Amino acid sequence: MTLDATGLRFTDHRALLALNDYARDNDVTVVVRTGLSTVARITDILDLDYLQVEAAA
Amino acid sequence: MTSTATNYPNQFVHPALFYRSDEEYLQTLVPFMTAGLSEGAPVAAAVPGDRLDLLRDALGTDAARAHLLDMTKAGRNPGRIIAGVLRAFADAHPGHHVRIIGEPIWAGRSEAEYPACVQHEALINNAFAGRDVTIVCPYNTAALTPQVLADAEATHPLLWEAAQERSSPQYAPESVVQRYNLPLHATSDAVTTTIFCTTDLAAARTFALERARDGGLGPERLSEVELIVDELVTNSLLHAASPAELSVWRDGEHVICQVADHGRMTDPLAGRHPAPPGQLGGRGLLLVHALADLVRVHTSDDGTTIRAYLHTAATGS
Repeated sequence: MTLDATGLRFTDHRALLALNDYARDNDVTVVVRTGLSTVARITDILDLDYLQVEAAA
Repeated sequence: MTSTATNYPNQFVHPALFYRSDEEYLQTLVPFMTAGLSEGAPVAAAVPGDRLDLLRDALGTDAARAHLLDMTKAGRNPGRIIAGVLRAFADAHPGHHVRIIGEPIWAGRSEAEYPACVQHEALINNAFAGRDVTIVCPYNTAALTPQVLADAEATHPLLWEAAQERSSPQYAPESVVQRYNLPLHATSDAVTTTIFCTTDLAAARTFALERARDGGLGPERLSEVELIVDELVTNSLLHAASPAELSVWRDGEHVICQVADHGRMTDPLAGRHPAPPGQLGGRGLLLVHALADLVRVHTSDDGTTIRAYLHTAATGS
């Protein structure tokens, strides 16, 4: 499952936490495609194991 | 040394090691590490880079079996050491008595950093109560001030010095946390705005970003400023049920983002340990600690002020 978030300007940790919970509950990994460097930082710091961050070109 | 972690099975052991020379440093810490490694125990050392080189050279091939971290980087902000260094290592090794050397206080710590460092040392005792872990904290008596060494006696129940162990009669970690809960005085350089509701968060982020950019912060850290400010202001609005007063300014080599509200922070460990899986919330301040180079907090019945420092030369924690 891929979330195209290339147009995203900002996200806080609560949104990513909710997405991670959704992915866990559905036993999938969500690929988050984004140009925001903070998405990878949040995912790493909070160990959001069901999210995989992909840098958008 | 007559006592080591093996004398305290199944409990938390938190000694301060007072050393005066490299020789004394190695005489105690190398056997502490090698004894653990020979027992198959997980062993880590998070100390300043020059201390790390000493340990690595003395350990020889054993160094590869220990987890070694430069505390000036991993623990630059003392508020992230419990979660990011100590708990991260201990939690990864359940069922073992974990041995960690943690040296968060060295002679180069700044006046702004020190209160956060000593509060961190005091709070370790609560954070690890009941855990099967030994954390020994070296203090260089030749380089640190008498006040720092006196504080170490108040934050550590055990003292190791000259191959002897003794209990600390001055041990009083709660009073140390209170004593270093110091007011954060206003500065005339700050530019301030007040945020009343969450619909103003985007404006708050823009306000901070523009001031931080004017203060000389690079592009990567600007996105961290947005996140830090968003988390701090959100915490004030949600938990303190109070407007948030946001200030940004440059102080020396740092850009500082400060958020003040009318609430009182009741848990001194807030943001310092990882939130349990499944827990809603409780991660905003953890993120701020992970991203900033220093976080200072003052809380009282009159309100709470949190100050996040970002070094202008750094490219992110």
